[in-house]
Amino acid sequence: MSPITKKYAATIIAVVVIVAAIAMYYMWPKPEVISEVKIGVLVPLTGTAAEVGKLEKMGYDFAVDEINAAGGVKSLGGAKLRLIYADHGGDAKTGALECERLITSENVVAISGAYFSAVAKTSSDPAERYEVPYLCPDCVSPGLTERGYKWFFRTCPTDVHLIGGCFDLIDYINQKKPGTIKTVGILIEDSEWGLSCRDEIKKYASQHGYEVTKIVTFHTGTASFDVEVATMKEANPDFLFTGAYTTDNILLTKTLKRLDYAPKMIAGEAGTEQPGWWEAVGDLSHYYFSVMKYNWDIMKAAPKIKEVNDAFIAKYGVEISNEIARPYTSIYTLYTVIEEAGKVASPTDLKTFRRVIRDNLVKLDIGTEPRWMIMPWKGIKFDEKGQNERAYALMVQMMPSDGKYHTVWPKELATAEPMVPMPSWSER
Amino acid sequence: MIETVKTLAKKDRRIIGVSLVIAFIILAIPFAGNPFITHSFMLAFLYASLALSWNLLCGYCGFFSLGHHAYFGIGAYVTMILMLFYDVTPWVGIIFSGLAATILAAAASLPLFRSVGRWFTLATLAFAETIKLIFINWDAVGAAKGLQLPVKPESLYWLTFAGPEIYYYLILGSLIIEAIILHRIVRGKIGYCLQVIREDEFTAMSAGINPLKYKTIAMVIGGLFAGIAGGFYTTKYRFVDPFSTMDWILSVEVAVCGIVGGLFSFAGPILGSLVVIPVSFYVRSVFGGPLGGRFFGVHRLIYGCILFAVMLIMPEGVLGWIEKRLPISGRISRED
Amino acid sequence: MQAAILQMVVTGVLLGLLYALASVGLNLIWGIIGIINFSQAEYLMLGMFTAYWLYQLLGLDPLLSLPVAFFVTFLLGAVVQRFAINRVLNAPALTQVAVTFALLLIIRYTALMLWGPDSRSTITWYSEKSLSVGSVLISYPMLISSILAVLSTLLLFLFLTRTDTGIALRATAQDRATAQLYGIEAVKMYTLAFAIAVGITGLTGALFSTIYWIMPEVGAIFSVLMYTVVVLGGLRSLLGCFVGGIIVGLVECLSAFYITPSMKDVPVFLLLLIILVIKPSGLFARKGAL
Repeated sequence: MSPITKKYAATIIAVVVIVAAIAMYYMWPKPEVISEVKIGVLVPLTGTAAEVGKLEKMGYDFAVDEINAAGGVKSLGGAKLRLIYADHGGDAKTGALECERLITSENVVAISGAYFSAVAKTSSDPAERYEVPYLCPDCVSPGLTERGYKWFFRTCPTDVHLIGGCFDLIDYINQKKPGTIKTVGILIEDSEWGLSCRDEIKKYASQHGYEVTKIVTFHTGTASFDVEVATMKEANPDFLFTGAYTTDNILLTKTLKRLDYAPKMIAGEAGTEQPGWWEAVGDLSHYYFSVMKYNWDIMKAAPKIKEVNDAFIAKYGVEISNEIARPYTSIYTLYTVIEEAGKVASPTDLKTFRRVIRDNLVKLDIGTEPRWMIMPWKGIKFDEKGQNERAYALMVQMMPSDGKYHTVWPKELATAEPMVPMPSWSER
Repeated sequence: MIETVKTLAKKDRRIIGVSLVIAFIILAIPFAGNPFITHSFMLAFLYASLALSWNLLCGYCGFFSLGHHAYFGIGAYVTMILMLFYDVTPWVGIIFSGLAATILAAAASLPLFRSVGRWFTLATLAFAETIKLIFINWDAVGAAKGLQLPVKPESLYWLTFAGPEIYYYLILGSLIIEAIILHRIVRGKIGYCLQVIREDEFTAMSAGINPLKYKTIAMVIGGLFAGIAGGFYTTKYRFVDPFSTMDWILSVEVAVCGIVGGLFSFAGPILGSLVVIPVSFYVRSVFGGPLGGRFFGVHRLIYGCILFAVMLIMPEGVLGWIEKRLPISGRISRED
Repeated sequence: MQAAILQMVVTGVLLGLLYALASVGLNLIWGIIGIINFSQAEYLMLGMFTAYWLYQLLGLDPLLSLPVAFFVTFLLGAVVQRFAINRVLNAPALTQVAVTFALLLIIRYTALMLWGPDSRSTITWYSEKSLSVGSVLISYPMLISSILAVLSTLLLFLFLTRTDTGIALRATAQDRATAQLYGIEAVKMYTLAFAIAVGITGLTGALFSTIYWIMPEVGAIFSVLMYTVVVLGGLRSLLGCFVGGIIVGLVECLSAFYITPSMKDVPVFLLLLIILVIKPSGLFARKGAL
């Protein structure tokens, strides 16, 4: 054998061996263990929403730690809950791939995710096909529960609730002082979520009798909002709705100040809900309204929330916020149905176990009593489309008195009166 | 048959033997029962068909295009639109995808080939980004929301299946057909002309070769296969939006596959894809989840380090590296 | 309406000047060394973070940290050039592409790992102030940054044309072989060129930190813009860079105003394609001259 052929053969054989080894590692059957019950979690740990992913992970981990410390899944002999995280980075393809991996390689009993509505759309497709329950705690695009999927459930409110609540608030403001708000402007990101949001606003605006005078869409990651803000300033609607994620929102708010544009009333979604935003812009956030799914002053209505909050602060050093609370409740929801499922089935028969979980989700009927129900909802009960019909949305306003969000809507939960109109920048 | 085998040189026998083993492994992967691996390799084949079609213009003709993914995106959208709005089976839809991509490629060739070298690269990038921006704002095709196919029961007619296995073989089959066709082209007159153009366009012209004609042919054929790949993508993922199918990072990934594999050989892009894609998924699945929570983005960092190391050790790509040590016929001649 | 258009124009020009400065680095590397540096925008990010950390830890105004940002990225650039770029100078152009892409991943995700995904910003006394000239509002940070951008480029221009090192750099760019005959070491020149180019981008990052938010993945947003400006303006021409930048800034702002902001880059790309059709090497491209 000539040395050259030897080398050639050796290289080829080496490549084959490596490929085979990798293949074998994956193909090796993993022993079924019911010392743990695995839940797959899709989060954005890289990409534009990485900040949110970080917060969500805290919420997820906190819930699981609590559950395991309290004895795990008792109906399965104290099996521990284990979360398998997958980073989708905001990319729909990756989301689908990772979801499939979680289902088929990691043998999870359920999936939770994914913050981006577009990623939730694609990743719930494998879940539907493989018949794995997919619980979405954090996507607001209404279309997700309009697809006729049987395995997709959503605990959080959708844009229908959020925007609906927003316009109810505007109605209330107009009741107190008639004629305050007549026209509506929309400044929104051109993503899946943004466009759904825009459509909801148009729908509700016309339902409540308001006129949408200007719609401006922008592309996320834009280097400057000067044009967008200037255009909106020209149109000067009474109420401006801004839909942008945290980073864009920071730039947007700063631009509003610079170009001296202070609409009578301004509200936001997504970006305005993040501590990252209001910490970055400081008192520029005052008077801003925001849709909110969870707010700290709910504690006044339900003292048990303070308990959970204190425990969380003790562990992580920050208060519970939106992106922490929603995953927290989602894990507990799954835990509740898994406890029930464990009585009649076991993860060793994955297919049946998943089906029982789904059936339990359909039958689920929870009120506000559980300690972990820290969301301002009336409970959890899924309608036939998989949407939690007891979900609720809040409207909050950033009060200049203490630089914190105070709930202004719905009335039962409100701790403050809305302050409209917003004073101009120079007056503050 | 034994007689024929005996007359073959020892070296050739070894090559055939090893090739058969590799072929067997490739065909057997889905049977191992691990859908994740099957899916990763299915995606690798998809990227391979993209890289192969892209390399026609790049390795053979010397024009580095960063806009190849536009054809892929168009292909994906066409099949989706036909399936969603007109109830056309993807078997036909994919043909139209190829056609649409071909038309786009032909239309794009004229302005794009006015520039050369790095300007060409940027022009292709600008071209593809423009297409993406148009689709983001085009409400009729879903704009930024994209289009999703509703859940259909498994069927061959609609090419909808839960697992990746069928798609694996389908895309593999398509890749093989594409490889055979492209190999023929590359060994023939077209391939020869492209390489002459790559070396020196003026010499080519004085030899009677019309550079624009052949460059366009390369772009169009490349676009055709990219469009077909896009069609297959739609059947598997059943969701298209401008961000997942038309973003320029796709072209970069395809280029990386080609570069790692070795641009100056036919099989380079295929080998590159088969290495890069599974490795990146492996890295992501091992490091992305568990560690990703503590250290954000570790998996991308590791991927970057591996890519860096590979490129420094094998600047000519994996195949180039192998061939430098062992002369194997079939390498495109290139003086350095 | 008049006022709005004027506002657009002013914003467009100011923004364009900043884009231009951001692209000067890319232009230099491309023109002198001859490679497309995919990781260029990451140095912008590093400059932003340098300014941020100095602001956070020492309370330093970002504008004062400009020289520091420059030197930090300059040093990093020198190291990268020595140990990475140099090795692949003679490799096929596309390997260089892959290497710079790998560097992009390494720099960006090391930053993500170290500093986490949270976005930060620097708040200074002039962050939200605007100068009003007539009916036009000029943002203070943008104005200051643009002025500094022009000044920095002037300094660079002087360096390249009046100092011995600068002239040596340009000589190497024009004709490596002949330059070496005159005793100019190509490798040293390349390292210097790379480091300066990268340093300028870092400096731009520090300028940007007064306007934009800071995050490890921020490079992704500016990449395409930078390449567009360089190609528009033409290789190896500083003036071209600035004209290119201003054009991009203007076209962006005006098309955002007249069409819709989410399509504002389409006319930019179309313009680019048109220019490439007419003058394939960019508006001001000159062979070898700087």
